[in-house]
Amino acid sequence: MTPASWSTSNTSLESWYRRLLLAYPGHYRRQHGAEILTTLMETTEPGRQRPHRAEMKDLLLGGLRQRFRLPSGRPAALLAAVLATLAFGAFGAAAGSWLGERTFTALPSTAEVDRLSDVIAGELEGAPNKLTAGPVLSSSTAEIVGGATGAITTPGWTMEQALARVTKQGWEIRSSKPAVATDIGCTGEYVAERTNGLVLQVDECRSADGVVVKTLIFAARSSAYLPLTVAGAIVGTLLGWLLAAGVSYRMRNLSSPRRAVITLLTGAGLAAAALPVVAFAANTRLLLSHLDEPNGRVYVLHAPLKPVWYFSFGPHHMIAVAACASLLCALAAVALSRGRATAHADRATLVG
Amino acid sequence: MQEPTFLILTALAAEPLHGYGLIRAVADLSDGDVRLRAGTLYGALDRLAEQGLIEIERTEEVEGRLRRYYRLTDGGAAALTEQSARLRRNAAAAETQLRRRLAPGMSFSAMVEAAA
Repeated sequence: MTPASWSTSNTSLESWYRRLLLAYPGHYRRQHGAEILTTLMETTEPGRQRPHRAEMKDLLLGGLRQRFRLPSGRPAALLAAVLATLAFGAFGAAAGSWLGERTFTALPSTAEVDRLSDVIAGELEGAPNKLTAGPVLSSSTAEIVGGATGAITTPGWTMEQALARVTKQGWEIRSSKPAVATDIGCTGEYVAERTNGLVLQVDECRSADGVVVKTLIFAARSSAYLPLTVAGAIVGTLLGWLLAAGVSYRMRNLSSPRRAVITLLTGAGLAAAALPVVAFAANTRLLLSHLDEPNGRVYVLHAPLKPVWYFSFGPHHMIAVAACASLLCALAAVALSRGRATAHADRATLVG
Repeated sequence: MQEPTFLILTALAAEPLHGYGLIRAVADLSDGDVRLRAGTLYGALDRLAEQGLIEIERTEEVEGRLRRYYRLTDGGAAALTEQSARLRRNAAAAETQLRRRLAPGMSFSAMVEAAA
């Protein structure tokens, strides 16, 4: 096509090309979009209304490749991209895990746990036994626990009778450990489950003074939990790489003070991510090693974000604060890299 | 260096070219074997510019259309010279090997002739 025939060229084809060029990152479109469009319009045969299929594929793949590419010959950009990918992958998994936990059955209120404790303790010879219901928590390193613990001194208390009472309340006995005396005198652990996704665990420990009964109630892992966590990890990984690639490309056209600030923010963000990433990785190991225990306590990957002592040092909210700081640094770096102060773009014939 | 990259540098060795000019030059140089599409071409141009092998020579605007001309840098010319020498060396080696492949057959028939 010659320049003379451009004016008469159909706008439908051009708008097709413009839409396809959206596959490219914005900074790239601003720099090369107009010239690519010229080349596309020149290579196409006259009268064509829409691009060839192969041409569409070429542009879409070209755009995707450009989004994932890093500037060549910059080892620092590669290192930052790899670390950002790891960090965002871990954060994504944690976000997916948090979302997954929303699909768990809600824990019963303290009053309900209290009532169930009474059922387990039972009434013997007119004198009610009492288990002290603990607070319904969402706590510890990983598990979700609502519990009750207490000493029942009445010699007549038996696990069998307690479980029979619990069964009448709608619980189903799923498994029981054989009554084997252990060093600490505990003779059995029974697990009951409700079809609504709650698990009740009852332990009895007998000693010369009587029986100590411990109960725990926790939500079972829902079937949506693992897919959501894995999906979060995948989305996070992709996002981490894409953001790092975009920032390192956009940085090329920025003033050096601005580049220095972005580098500093990236470094700070990655440093702040270290602690949460280690904690998430440790919890992932816990989660995986307990995956096959259907009645075991549920470990969730994002538990280190909860306000508890996860590491033996630092304040309660340390990991959540570090994760937030890291994300804020990343956000600031991305925002700062988007400035177009010194970008030599072809503003007159912008595409997209 | 891949074939399209080699051909792009070769096309730019003689004169600066814009995108469409490059696509045509590469097709001519390869006797129509390599037909670059815009996405592939600009991906390669971006990479080559990053490596300092080519650079933008000038930008033209014709009837609201933007054309950008690329030229080979000194580094690009050196890389192309090196690659061209390597290809010539490899091609020569291939030809030598092919001649040697032919040689035993000929000597064998010569031996048969001598025996007869």
